[in-house]
Parts: sequence; structure tokens; C-alpha cells
Amino acid sequence: MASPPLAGWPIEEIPDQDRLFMRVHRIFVSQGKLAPGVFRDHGGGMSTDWERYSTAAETLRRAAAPSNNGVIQLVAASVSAIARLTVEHTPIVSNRAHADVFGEKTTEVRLRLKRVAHWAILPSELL
Amino acid sequence: MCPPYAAEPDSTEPSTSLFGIIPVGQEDEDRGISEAFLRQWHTRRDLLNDSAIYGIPSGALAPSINTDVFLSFLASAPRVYGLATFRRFRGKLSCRAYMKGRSRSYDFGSAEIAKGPPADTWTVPSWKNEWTAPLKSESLDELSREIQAAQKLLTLEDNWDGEGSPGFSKTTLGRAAAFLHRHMLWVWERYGVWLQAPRILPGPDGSIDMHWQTANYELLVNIPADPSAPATFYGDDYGRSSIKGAFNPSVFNLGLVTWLLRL
Repeated sequence: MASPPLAGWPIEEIPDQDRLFMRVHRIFVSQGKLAPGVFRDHGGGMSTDWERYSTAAETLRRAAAPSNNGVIQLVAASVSAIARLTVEHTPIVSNRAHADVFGEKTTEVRLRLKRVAHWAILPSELL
Repeated sequence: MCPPYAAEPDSTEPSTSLFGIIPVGQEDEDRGISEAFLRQWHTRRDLLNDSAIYGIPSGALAPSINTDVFLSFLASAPRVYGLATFRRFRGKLSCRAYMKGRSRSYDFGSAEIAKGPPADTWTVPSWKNEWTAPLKSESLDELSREIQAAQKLLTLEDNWDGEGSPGFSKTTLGRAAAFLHRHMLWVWERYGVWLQAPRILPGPDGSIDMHWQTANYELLVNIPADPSAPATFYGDDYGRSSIKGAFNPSVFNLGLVTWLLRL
């Protein structure tokens, strides 16, 4: 069921099996591997895009410099299974897909997120 | 019988040499060898001239240390001439002695364990120049390369990702490098082991991450940008055991070293 709208968009429940896309700047790729430091908050939560309203390519295009980025995907249930993390649909005016992962990104949480993340679009230097 | 191995007096080598005795426990049986047994071996120190015996408590390594990797580190170290590991399995003690690339296995019975190492079997094998290449300098190079590679982070200015992330300071990277040198050198000087260098990575909010990863273990240490804030760490073996906490990175942390030895 949808909650009161945010930024003009209804807030919806994100199903467990749905994927979230997240941009990864190339600086967070080392020796072909994802760096755990990529999992950090911006303005209260870790910004992602819900696949219902965004493709991985669209997530990449929203980067300030798309050529410097790749995109990873996280299954919502895998994220929520990590202690103290919650996934919430937080649309913004320009992006109905926007979703936040709330909860402190401790060293433990970051390592666990790294383990459940998979590449959707590799950064250009890894192609 | 397990012949003990003594460090050979050798004018081409430093006067102080190392002889490692490493009791290694196994997860499915007794974990390690009793201290009493190890002390019996230590009593033979007088036969080793200027050598030193390093016994590493089984609790520090067992049950999950990768023995082969650990031994390869030790065997490559300068001034180490002989190594022996002990394993108790199904009531039987076995000893594996390593020297100069050769490896032999011997089995003990309980009565022999009680007696300690038989002096009449002590020999001085010929093993000149078979172990070379000091590992320390190579490993220092490896660590230096990682630190050098991390210098690229210092070129990133605030908002380098277009999402408001702060840049990285030389001070923070310096604290991370100092942490690594302090702990890796301590292990080297104490045990003659050079720890694997981590990946040095960008962390959140201008912090620096140090990431160790093997097939069996993973450890993440974070040095925050705020020098007054504690460093934090988390490590696990992908299921059974884990370690986490906060610490002052400018102070030596033995607990963390114990974990690093498992990597």
C-alpha cells in the first residue's frame, strides 16, 4: 500500500526480491574488486535506485560523470537481512526510483554489503 | 623418532639464528600441544649455541591458521634454519620438521612425548645456502607499493565524485601507513613472519580503509579522517567466528595482530 506522496510521488513498499541499483565511482574499484568504502551515506541514507522505476543504465546516466562510474545491484532482502539496515522508497522530484538504505555503515555492515553486491554495469576500465 | 634440528653455526650467517617450534592444533582433536611438552623442547636450547627457539602458543594460531602459508613465510625469513610443527590427532602426536626446503614427517607415541626429544638423535644437517632471499625487504617493498598506490587518493579534491564526498588528507593516509608499519614490524621482529599487505582503499567521509581478504578470512580496518576518533575494525571467517571493535590506531593492538596472523 502506498504512503502519502513524497516529492509528488507515492511512497511504495519495495518487495524483498527487487533489486536496487547504486553507482560506484571508479576510485572504489581496486585490483578489479569493489572497495567496501563505496557503501556510505549521503544525507542520511545510502542512495540507490529501485528497479521498478529505473534501469541500471539510467542510474549510471544520473552520475555527474557517467564515464567515471559503474553500477552495482543489491537485492532488497539481502540488504534488509544485514543487522540494523532498512530499505525505504524515498522518491525525489527528479527520480521516482530513489530509495535509501538507512542504518549506520559500520565496518561490519560495509563488508557484508560488499558480499551481497554484484556488478550490473562494470566501470569502463574493467570492460 | 622426530630428530630435532639445530641451527648450524655458520660463519656466513648472523650469530643469532632462529629455530622455530610451532605447535599447531587441529579443530577435530586436541588443540595444540601442552606447554609442558614445549618446555621440554626448550630445555635443549643449550644445544643450539646462539640460536633461539620460538614457540608460538597454539591458541594464537590454531585451529584455523593456514599452516602451509605460515610456514612458507617463516621458511623464507632470514636467519631461520629449521622449523617443526606438532599435531595431535586421534591420540597420536606427529611432528613435521622442515629444513631448507626438505620436509619429513615422524610419529610419536605417548611415552616418547613424556620423555621429550631424544638427545642422541640431535644432528646438524647440512643446509647451507638453501634458504636465501630475505623476505622482509620484499615484503616491505610490497607494503610500500600499496602505500604508494594509495597516494592517488590525495589528488582527489572535495566533491570528487559529484556527490559531495570529501577529499582524503595526507595525515589520514599517514596514520594508516604508520599503523601498518607498527603492527607488521612487530610481528616480524617477534615471529619472523611478514604479514600480507592489505589493499589500502578509500573509505567513507575521507577515511582510509585497509582490507585483507583470503579464501578463509576477511578483515576491514578503518582509519577515520578525524584524528581524535577511534579506528574501527571487523573481520570474520565467513560464518563461524568474527572480531570487531574500536581502538587507538597509534597504539599497538595485540588482538588485531592475532587475527592478522590467521589471514
